[in-house]
Amino acid sequence: MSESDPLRIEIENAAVEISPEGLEAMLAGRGVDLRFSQLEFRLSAAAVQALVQRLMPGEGEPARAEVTPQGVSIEGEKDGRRVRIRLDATALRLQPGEGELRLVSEPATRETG
Amino acid sequence: MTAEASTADARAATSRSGWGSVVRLESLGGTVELGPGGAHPVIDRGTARISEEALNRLLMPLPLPLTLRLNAGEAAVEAEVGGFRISATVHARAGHTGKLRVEATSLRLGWLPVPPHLLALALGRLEGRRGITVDGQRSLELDLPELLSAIPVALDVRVSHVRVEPGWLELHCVPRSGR
Repeated sequence: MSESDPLRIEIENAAVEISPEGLEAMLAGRGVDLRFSQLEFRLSAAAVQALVQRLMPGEGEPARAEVTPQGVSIEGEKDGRRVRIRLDATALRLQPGEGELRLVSEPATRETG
Repeated sequence: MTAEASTADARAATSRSGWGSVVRLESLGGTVELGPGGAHPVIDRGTARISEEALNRLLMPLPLPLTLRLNAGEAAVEAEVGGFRISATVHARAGHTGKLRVEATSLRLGWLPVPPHLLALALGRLEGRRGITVDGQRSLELDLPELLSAIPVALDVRVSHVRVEPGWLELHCVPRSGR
């Protein structure tokens, strides 16, 4: 991935189906009707960094993001004050519900002692 | 169980599921680039399972009325050419350049051999169509990314393996650049 094009999501595995009506619509240029049954995406560290910089624009130092197997940490500035957010999580699950989507983290195991 | 019965069972199962897909794309890989103009997805690997129904629909715009039936390992094609009905047994495989190579291994006009001028007429109607290359007297090469350029996803793939089974064509695709 080049530096000039950092917002690139890697599709690692996806499965999609098209119905007869969906195919007809697509061939006629009327639209798209796809049914996904599997989605696995990957965001590289550079892509996460670029995303964070877009979400946290500032006049000072550009926001930074660090991704490790233990979680994600974001550091930036808001109104001249330093902001640091760390998410200790080994997994993030996007869970569809009744009329809503929930993003749920799986907590990282903390080392004690 | 016969191949016909197996296909009928598969169709009944899809019909019961309430979705009845005619194209299934599996193990897809690639990228989505997010830019100011929106998202630009590019698929560079995967397996496409295309039903007989979908293939016949895709063949409709051709200036040669064709009916295709997918059997185990081969396809049966019927085409109307110059007022005559030509039947052909067709085999599909991955071509050397990654296109889908389609070859007629037997051609019949009823129980008679097909006159060469009818065959030339049939192929002449397909020659020059976008994504179709006539290669020899009985072969065609189909460039899938070209043929499917209307879909909102860019395809950067070449066909690596082809399987024909009753009712379905399966295409295994790998990155075109050989990555």
